[in-house]
Amino acid sequence: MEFLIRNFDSTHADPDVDRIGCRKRGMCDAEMPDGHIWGSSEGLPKFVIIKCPEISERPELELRKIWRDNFDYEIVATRPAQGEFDVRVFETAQGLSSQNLMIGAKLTKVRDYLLQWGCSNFAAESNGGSFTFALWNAVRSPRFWEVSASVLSSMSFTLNSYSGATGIGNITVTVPEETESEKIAQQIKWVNHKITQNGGTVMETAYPAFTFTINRADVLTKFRADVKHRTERTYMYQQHRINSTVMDQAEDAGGVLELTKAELIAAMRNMAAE
Amino acid sequence: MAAKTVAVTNHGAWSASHAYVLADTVTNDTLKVYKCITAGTSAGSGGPTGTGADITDGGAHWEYKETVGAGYTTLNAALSGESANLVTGTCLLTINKYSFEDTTDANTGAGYTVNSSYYIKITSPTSERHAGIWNTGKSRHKKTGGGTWAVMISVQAAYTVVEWQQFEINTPDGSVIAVGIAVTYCKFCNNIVRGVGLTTDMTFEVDAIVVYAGYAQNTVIYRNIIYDFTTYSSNPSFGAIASSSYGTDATGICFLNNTVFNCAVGLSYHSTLTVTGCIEKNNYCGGAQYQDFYTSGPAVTTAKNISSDATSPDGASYRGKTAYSSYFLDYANRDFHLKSTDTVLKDAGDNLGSPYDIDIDGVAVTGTWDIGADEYVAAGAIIEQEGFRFRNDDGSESAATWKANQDTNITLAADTAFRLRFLLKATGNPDSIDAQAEARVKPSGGAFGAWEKIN
Repeated sequence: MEFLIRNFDSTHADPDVDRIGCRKRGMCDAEMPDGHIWGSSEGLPKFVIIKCPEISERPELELRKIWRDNFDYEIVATRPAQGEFDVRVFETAQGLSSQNLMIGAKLTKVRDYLLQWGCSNFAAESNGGSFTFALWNAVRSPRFWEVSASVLSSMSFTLNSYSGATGIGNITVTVPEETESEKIAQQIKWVNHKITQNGGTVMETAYPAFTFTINRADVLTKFRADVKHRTERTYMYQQHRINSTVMDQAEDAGGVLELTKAELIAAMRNMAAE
Repeated sequence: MAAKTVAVTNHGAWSASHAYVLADTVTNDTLKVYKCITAGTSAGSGGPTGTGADITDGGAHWEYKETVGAGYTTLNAALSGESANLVTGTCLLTINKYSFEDTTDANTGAGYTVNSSYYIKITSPTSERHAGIWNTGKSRHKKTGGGTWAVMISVQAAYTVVEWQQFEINTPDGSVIAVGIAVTYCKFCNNIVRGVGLTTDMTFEVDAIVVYAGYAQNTVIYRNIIYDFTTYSSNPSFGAIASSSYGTDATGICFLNNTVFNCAVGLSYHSTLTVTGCIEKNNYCGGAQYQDFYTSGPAVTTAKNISSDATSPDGASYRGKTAYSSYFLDYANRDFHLKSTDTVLKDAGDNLGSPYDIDIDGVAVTGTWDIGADEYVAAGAIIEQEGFRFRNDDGSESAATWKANQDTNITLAADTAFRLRFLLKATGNPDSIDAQAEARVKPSGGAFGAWEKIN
């Protein structure tokens, strides 16, 4: 493979934008097969090309990998009778020197999203926070149904039964009644989808009421995946870059440098390990 | 500097003794772009020069296309290499993508300084553009695989324009175009965006165009054709979505004259709390697994949106339009040009003015607007003269006898009347053109007289 490596820094006055959005010297912009004929502007002074014939697959080194959040969860306590979990959420891709902890504005965004799932008792920690997730609150939350608060306020919910032993709740949701048959069909389709998407099973449809069962563990799983998916963000434009020593060598060599795979790996700075 | 154009070609700088194939593009002779029009091996030195339409280079022949300020082989490299303060440089940066498949994910990055006059325009020269239907011979981008939220084109620079491109994605979780935090005033128009091989059991959604509401404001998505974003087992895929994970507001995010087909959800304003200046007009959404149109927050300003299901925000008369084969030339093969006989989408839209009046074929709208990305224009015709034949003036128009064989000149006695038939061969739609026949006579030893209309 041949790698097109940037030879200059872009900068932004906002340090967060600079880190997330700005390319820096040593970052990889393109990976091409051996023998690729590069463009007339894909060389010095803006770029250098590093050739590594030992590498044949484009993603092998993950030179272009984004440093992205990677949240994880820990169940701190379970209260089956109430259908509640106490949960910790935290950042695992925080970096060796804790550059990317879940704190500050990032933690606030995650907290706000958790609130949309009906979570409560949120408490900040040094990396993330703890909160209570309850089945009954979750199924009545705007995020479960993906509707605004005003739409949600026009829906009503009844908890028909809940078993602390199995963790299964039986719930009836009643939606605002439509009069057009096509609108009714659409509404039924969407409500069914939201229930099944979040791990539930529709037991009875007596429009505008829908009765479904849902297991506290299943909705917790769906909730965790959704929070990860919706709130994780890029921390750094790329996690790796070629170190300045090798970049200088490439410049001195006229803009093209051939390395062994071992040399290339040794030349890669892992920003998360610094 | 008022403008800079850079080229993205599949081959970079011209190379000696190289086997080029048809439609390969290179730069040579001080950043002139050439396109291969005859495949062959290039000469041992030199390469194409000048601005000719057929330049010989060893066994290869080239057509000059344009002279540019820089040459790259991926869109991403162009975006990286040109990062600059375009405002102080008074530079409108045009990135001309030529006809090849670019498989490198691209990102504008945040290294640009832009304003409404000096910004990034990602486009293609006219000859390299699709004509409203997927074309593997034109400029295109492809993404397969990838991890969480894999993005094909990340837009982090305000005012960015992406137009006349073809995007294809097959990844289990991601999007084609994602507009990032605090990025404003972008335009995405006249693109074809398609999912390929997206199955209904993928983990997460794959969206065509995502604009983050609450951050990316005043962005307009118009005249695009978007289809086959079908994943929905967990989160449904969206054709185009003004999205907010955090339930914030949306300002000026508009969907205009798009054709969206066979997506889990077609066009969506998603999880927004307040909506200001958002407009959704003249769109056709059909065949959605869940909803053609979806708004989970307050209503936007809408008009003339047609759906195949019950979700058009514009009333019952705009809903349930599922006769796809009567609207489109060949929807099964994803040709969404309107049929001449269509009576649902044709002449049913609002006039939205410039710049939204250039349709997916590059044709300016005249008359009443149609709904969707295409504006129906009656097909023209190619007329070729096939022959002529003289006849005697000895009967009626239908009964007159032949005077000679076809394409044979004749000699006539003085004061002899004759008839003449000529054959015109039309390709296309001859009903779409008007013609009149004229003739003039050159007397022996004299000059041609005036043209006279033949009645």
